[in-house]
Amino acid sequence: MTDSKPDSAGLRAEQYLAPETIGQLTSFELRARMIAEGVMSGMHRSPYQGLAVEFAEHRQYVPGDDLKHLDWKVFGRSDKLYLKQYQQETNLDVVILVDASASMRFGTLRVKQGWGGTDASSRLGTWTKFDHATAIGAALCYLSLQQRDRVGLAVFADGIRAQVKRSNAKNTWRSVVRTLATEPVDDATDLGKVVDQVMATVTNRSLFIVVSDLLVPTESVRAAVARFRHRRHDLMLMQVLDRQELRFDLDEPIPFEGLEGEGRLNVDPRVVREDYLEALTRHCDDLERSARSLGFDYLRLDSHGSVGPAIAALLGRRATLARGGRAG
Amino acid sequence: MTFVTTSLAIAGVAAASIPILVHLLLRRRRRPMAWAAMTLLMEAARRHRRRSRLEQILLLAVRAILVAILGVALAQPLLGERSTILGTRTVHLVLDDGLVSGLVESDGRTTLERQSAEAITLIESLGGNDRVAVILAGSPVRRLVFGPSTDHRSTIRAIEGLTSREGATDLAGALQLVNDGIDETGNQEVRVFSDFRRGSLDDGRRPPPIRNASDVPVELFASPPTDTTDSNTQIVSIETARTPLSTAGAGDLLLVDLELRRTGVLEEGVTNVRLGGDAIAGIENRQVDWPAGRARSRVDFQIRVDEDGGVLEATIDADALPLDDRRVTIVPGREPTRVLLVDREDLVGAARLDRLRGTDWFERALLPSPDTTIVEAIDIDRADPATIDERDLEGVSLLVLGRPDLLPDDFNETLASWVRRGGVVVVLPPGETTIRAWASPMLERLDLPWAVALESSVVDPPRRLPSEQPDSPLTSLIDSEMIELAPSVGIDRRLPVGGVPDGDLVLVDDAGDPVLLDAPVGAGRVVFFAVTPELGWTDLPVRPLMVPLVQEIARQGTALSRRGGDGVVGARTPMFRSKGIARIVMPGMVDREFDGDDPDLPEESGVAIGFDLAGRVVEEAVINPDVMGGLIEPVARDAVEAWLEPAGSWRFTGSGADVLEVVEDRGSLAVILVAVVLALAIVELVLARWFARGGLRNRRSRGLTGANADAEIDRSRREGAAA
Repeated sequence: MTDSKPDSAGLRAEQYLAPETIGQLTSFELRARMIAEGVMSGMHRSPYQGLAVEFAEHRQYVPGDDLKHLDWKVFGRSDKLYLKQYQQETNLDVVILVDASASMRFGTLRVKQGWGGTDASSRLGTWTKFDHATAIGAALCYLSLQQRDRVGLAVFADGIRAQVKRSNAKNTWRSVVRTLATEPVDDATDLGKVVDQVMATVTNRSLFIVVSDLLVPTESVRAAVARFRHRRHDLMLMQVLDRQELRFDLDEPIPFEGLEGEGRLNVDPRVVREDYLEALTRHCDDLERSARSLGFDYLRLDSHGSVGPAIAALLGRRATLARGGRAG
Repeated sequence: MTFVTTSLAIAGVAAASIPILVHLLLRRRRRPMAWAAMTLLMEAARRHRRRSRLEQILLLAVRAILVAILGVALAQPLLGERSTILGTRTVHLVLDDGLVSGLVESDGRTTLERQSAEAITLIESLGGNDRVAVILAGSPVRRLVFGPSTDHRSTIRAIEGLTSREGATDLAGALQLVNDGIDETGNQEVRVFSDFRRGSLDDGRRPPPIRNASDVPVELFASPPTDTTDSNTQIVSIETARTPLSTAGAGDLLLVDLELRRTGVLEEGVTNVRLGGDAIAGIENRQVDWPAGRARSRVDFQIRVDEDGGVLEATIDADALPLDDRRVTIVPGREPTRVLLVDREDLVGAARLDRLRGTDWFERALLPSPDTTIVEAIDIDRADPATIDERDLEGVSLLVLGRPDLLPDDFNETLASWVRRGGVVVVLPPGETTIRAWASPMLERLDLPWAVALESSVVDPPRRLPSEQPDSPLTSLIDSEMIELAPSVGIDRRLPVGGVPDGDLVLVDDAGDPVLLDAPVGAGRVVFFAVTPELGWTDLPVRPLMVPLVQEIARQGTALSRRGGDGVVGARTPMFRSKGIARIVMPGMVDREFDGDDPDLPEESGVAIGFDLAGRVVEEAVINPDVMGGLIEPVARDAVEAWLEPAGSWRFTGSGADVLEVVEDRGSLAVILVAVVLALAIVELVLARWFARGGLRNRRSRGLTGANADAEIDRSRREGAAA
């Protein structure tokens, strides 16, 4: 990891992981690595215990060790203090699903000279939601490969449009970033169909990470989530929305045109702002409720904001849960 | 519409284009914004539409009230007892522009000019929304402007152009027109501008009750009756008579009788009378000396007129009222007087005097001597009563019915029409023993009220004609001789006639029963002998009275009937007797196709001309001023009040504009309403902007955030705490 650090590695991780910063990393691979490094440095301890861990052995307690890892059952039986030690799980499959529907083409953060990004953002000149999703997906993929997990990728819209088979081989990373960088962003979203296609190929228990704006009917999301639960898979829903979508603070009347063929609407945004925000809040709440009710994670991300801290917080919470603690 | 400052109006219109130009220049086409969360936005728009309905209704209500109040404010509503919801009132002005209004007053203005100025002052004091209607009371009564109008300026201009007319004032007709025009719009009031001189008040007619549509009396105001005395001389009549016996010379001798009348102050004075016109060569002058207190005078002329006749014009010196100082008449050309005797032909012959019938005696009286010149002047024809029809009456001036009982049933209608067009019919009751009900159907057709008995009766003892006989226009020229001629006439038999008005009596017997009757019917006359001039009835045919009586019947009868066809301004249309008239032209009026009906009442004096289809002049008729409207004596205020009383309760006002109570609080309500309008405009502005920004739901919330932003906030907090 150290040999791949850029010259600016001395900066704080949060700064690296702001879109302005990662956008300047013209190499897609470098961008993913930097995010992953940032995530790991934010976790401080046991960077390789992020996604999934398993008990390995006991060792004797020495002063200074964290008491929460003491095995109290052993202490009860033998009156000796032992710590539980964990070992990385090496056979977990991680499948990253990145939404490449037309709605992901939306973005209002202006791309500056020298930024990289996907083909979509380079055409539009803005940092789109898809750009943000690819950054997240690539970073998570990098993290998983670092833990020797098998990682697969699927880019979807109204169906699986492109995928990279699950593997922990070294060239998997190359395939993933190439796929994300070149895939067109178009068509409507059909989450039900995508889940059907994914379920047909993944039979063993896996961790699915869905990176999408999830601007689809909440019923279809709820049905998809239920199907993951039914197959006993783990799921992380990562909803990426542009700041303009989250705040909707436009100041003058303007016609709106749907990116997925919804048609045109003439409305004064100042007039409908509260109604819009109310509808968006209800939509997001429904998504979160659907995920949490089945024990899954839900994370809403602002495409204008930093990626690392949020992912780090999520992974930290998952690690805590995995160790039997309470999520903060 | 007129503008006080036209340049300002043009500038205003030009200024209106500025916002349009700004709008056009600043207009830009907005490119649509691609949006991902479109379903959420559509849902928000739907929710907003539902909610915004209430806001729209609220805005609409505010705007509607604003416009309504602005409209009412611009209408300048009035407070006080005169105000109504709309703040309007209608003032019906009645202006006396009749003959008497042409009286020239001491300041040189006519009465009409003075009263027009007062009316204009009143109109100028009206509010902008007050409506004004102007009715002119000079006959024929008419509206000056069509319907009540708020265009005061045009109404004033129309009043300024008024001149006095030659018809009599018809205040009753004018008030009737006012009553017909009263509607329910606002308050209604009537104001009469007249001096109420004698010529303005017709005792034969009274005004109608004036009420509005809800049968509520309206306010009635009248200018005070004048008490100013003045003097006026007028030519009342101009009568001509041409003896049928006179045909000598290059022209006929015409007897012209002018009647003059003075009203007002009757001081001693002199009036010069002139007679001219194209009927005579040159001008005839006379002078009338008026002793103090004398009101009437007659002036006789005997003049030689042209063979073709023409217009004869009489004038007097101009006085305070010049409109009745001139009068015209038509003198017909020299034509033989056609007389038609209608009687059964006696096959046996009438050699004996006691067997001569009434028509025979009539003929002998018309042609008393076998003078050839007289034969040329009188053209006598005979017709059988059983076969007479309309064609026999063409060109006939005098019709003598010897056997009216033998006329066809449908002839009465023809006879009545002919008489109304100016014919003179002399009816002689039949001496036969066979009794037929002939009189009643004939008189009924002629609209005469006389009740004639079915058969004659013998008078025993015989009666005589008294020397004192009723005044009759038919015998006016032989009144002086009647005293000697009448008593010699004895009556043995008579046809009883009842129901005769005094004015219709020409001769009566010593018992007071009618012997000869005469009545005008239309433009013609009916002369009725209750005693047939036959020796079996009376010895009149062999008495000296017979010839002058028959001559007067022919001469005066035809003259009177001709005068009966003259027109009077505002009262009577001129009568055209000739057939073939297709078009008539009356002075001051547009040409009118003649369809047999009476044309409109004439509005000016002069000569009316009838043309045939080829445009040739067929007949002329004169139109004279209505001298009854020129009586200038002041009428007492009590008498005027009594005359006006049927219309309602009148208030006599002062002079000038003080007749109108000025509503002092006019406009005060308008100011309040304008203030309310301004307040509402501000409310509307605020509401419109507030609703445009989201209205009640505009809490300006920050919106949602992402987890990454939340993390940043947490980090900032930690760093802040650590610091």
